[in-house]
Amino acid sequence: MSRSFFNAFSGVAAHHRSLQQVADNMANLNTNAHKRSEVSFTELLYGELKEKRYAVDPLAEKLAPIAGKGTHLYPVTRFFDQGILQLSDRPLDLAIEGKGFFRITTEDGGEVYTRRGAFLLDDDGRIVTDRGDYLDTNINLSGIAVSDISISPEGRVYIQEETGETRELGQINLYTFVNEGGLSERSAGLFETTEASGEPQEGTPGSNGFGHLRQNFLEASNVNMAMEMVQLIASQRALQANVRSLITADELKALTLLVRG
Amino acid sequence: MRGLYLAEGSMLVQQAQLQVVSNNMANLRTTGFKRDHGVETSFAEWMVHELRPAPGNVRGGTLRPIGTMAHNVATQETVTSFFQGPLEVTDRRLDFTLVGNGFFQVQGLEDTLYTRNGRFYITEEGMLVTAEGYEVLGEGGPIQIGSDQVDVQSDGSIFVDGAQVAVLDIAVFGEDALIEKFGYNYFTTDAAPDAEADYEVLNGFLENSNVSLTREMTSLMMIRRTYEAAQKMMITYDQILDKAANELGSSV
Repeated sequence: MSRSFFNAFSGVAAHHRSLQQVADNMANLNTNAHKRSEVSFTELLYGELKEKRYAVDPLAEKLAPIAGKGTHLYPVTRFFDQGILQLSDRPLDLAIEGKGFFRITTEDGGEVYTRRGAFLLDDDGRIVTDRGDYLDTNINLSGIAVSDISISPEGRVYIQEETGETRELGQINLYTFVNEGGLSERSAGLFETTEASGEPQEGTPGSNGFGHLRQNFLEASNVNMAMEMVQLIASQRALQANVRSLITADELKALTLLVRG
Repeated sequence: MRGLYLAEGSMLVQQAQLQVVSNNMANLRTTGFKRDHGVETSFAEWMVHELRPAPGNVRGGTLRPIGTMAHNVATQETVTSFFQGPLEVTDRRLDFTLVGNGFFQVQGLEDTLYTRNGRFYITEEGMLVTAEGYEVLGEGGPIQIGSDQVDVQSDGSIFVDGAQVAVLDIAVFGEDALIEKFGYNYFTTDAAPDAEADYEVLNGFLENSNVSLTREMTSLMMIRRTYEAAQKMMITYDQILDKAANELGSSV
């Protein structure tokens, strides 16, 4: 009977975690280029009821009666599908339309990947994130008015000279992975490579397998409110149902004790 | 005394039923989960007799049949219901669903395992695998897709960049095949997958658990009340035995 307690408990714990995931997604409904995550459940191993000394018809020719051991969560699955593009009118706001990540060099020299394209300029004219980490490009914009910069969908960065001519300053490249889902999130929106993700492949935006850059746009969160509502309802009701199993297991135990109340 | 053991048997069976139901309930949202159902059965019935002493005679007597009864109750088997679970839209390229009969085949550590959970992943080598890292089997063995941008046709053929890279090897079993739960959404069987194909492969969907919340809640109530009835029976027997042991033959 205590097996039933653990079954019910595993359900309560797993669906509680599922609710937390829904809360996390909903909280990031308006986060720039946020990628939603989803939990998935698995069952656990099965055991024969016979081993637990339940009465089993020894003449039964069918499979032995079995009972499962509850549920468990797989690692969270992150969905990298495209978020919609929002017009921002900041020249250094870059959205990726299609596959790929920007490469960011952090202060400690590490390399991380992100799709958050709200870039700024630092005092030295380098393109940085809001955390002060550098976009991985050799472009230097010191002494240049940001409003004069134009960035093509292929990642080429131009400046409009006072003479009316355009001058190319450099190139912003994108990076893709065989298995984006294998990336691990180091901090908000910044991803690190892992053994599962594979090594990054560098390419120019718009080339085969790489998305285009859109200047003056930001990628919105890919969280869908309606989908999260469904998840919220399913998680909450499943949690309550498992609490009901737990209560029933407890009631059976109480009834047994009441035989000699 | 017979009735006391019958009450105990009933309580044990309800405990077993609760294990099965609580496991179904815990897996209310487990992809590809198939609900179990505990089948209760009574033991074979046999004739019960009443011993009537012959009048005036100390030894012997006659047995008067009073009818048949079952002497206990047991969980005979757990039956897995393989009916289709509801489809959930995920829009994830590597989520597959089977509509109709059949199982995806994956290469387990020892044997081929069968599953209805089509949430697959891609490794750094471009192989199509399950969450455990088991390789998904196509008609030509493990499937190398190289990219997660796959297109899938309803017969299970997988295309990457317009070129066919593999065909999912779907195992379809006959109705009499004994398919056993292995755990972690996998099934095993000794039967050969030789039945005629009548399935459709969908991409961007998952098959949700086929557990029905209403049905399991009803089962919980049934278990609770059946257990209570057996408990009342046990208390009654305890009271009868109390009288037999302490009051019969007492001079007070």
